[in-house]
Amino acid sequence: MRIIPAPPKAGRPARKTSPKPSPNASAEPRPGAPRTRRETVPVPTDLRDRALAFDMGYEEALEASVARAEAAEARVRAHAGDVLAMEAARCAGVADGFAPGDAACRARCLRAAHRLRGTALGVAAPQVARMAASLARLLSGAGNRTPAALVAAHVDAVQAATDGKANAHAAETLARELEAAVETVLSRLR
Amino acid sequence: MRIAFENLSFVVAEDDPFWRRLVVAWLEACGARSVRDTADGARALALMREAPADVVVTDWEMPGLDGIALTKALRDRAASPNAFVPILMLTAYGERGRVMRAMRAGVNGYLVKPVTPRAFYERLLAVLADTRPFVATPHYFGPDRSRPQALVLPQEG
Repeated sequence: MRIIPAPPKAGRPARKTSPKPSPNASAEPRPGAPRTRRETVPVPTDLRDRALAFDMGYEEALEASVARAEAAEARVRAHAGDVLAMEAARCAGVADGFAPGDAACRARCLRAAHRLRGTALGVAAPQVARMAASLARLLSGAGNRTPAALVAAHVDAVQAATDGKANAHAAETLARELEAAVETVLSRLR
Repeated sequence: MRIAFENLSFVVAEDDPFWRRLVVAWLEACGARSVRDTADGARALALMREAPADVVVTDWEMPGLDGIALTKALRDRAASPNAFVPILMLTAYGERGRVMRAMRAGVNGYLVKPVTPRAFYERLLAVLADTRPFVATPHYFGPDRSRPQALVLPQEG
């Protein structure tokens, strides 16, 4: 494997590189920067030597790997069942009896909301992802002054969107209203 | 150039079972030599201590040890089983401040969900082909991002 150093950026002098840098070589501080202890450490090359192969072209390898991964993804999705409904139910369970003053309870709710957001993004449910993101923003922004009623409103909206009671348009309206309510609460607290 | 998955072992730390299954399925389909997965950062660290993997893929938000704490533990040169291990963070957090925090913790790559297999492959390849050294300061050990990335080409002949 050959390594071609990147060209220097415009207006910057080229870095001086030695073919075999010393493990203890110190990088020069930038002019004007505070002097801090800074050591440049070369990364062992054994992983790169093993991890990269040059027996096929970049595009060909990319397309082959992507095709295999996409087929595997389709199998996972086919067997996943209604993961979004499961995550929504899980989030509702965690948020049940939400106590704003309980930091551990807030942390559990935040994790559940964040996880629901991730799942919703994975299954292409953008309105549920927005609701979950809004709930996470509320919990992390308002802390122990989080209104429990607004947490419950998020949970209800998520459930309505995931069990089919709210169509896409209604879900979008709900998401927008929740985001606006969270913004109002957070701006009042600021 | 391609990723030689057949030579690589992975640890996947992700508390969302759907995303965990998805990432494991991608890696196995691409022919990864071994893939171990877990729902929490503490277990991922334990797996790395049992047998260091070549690459760690981690979520940010996890119960117990989160992705940032896991990254910091892996970059701790005094205690880590491999302080240079490439770490790819895969999270729903896309805010700039979050990305900067992950970079300051020492991750090599950052991907925001939803992620496609193509984006995952391309980011992983960029991480594995990264030739830049690490930098150590009193508060940071990780990739030196002040340097431009070099180009990796096959050896002639």
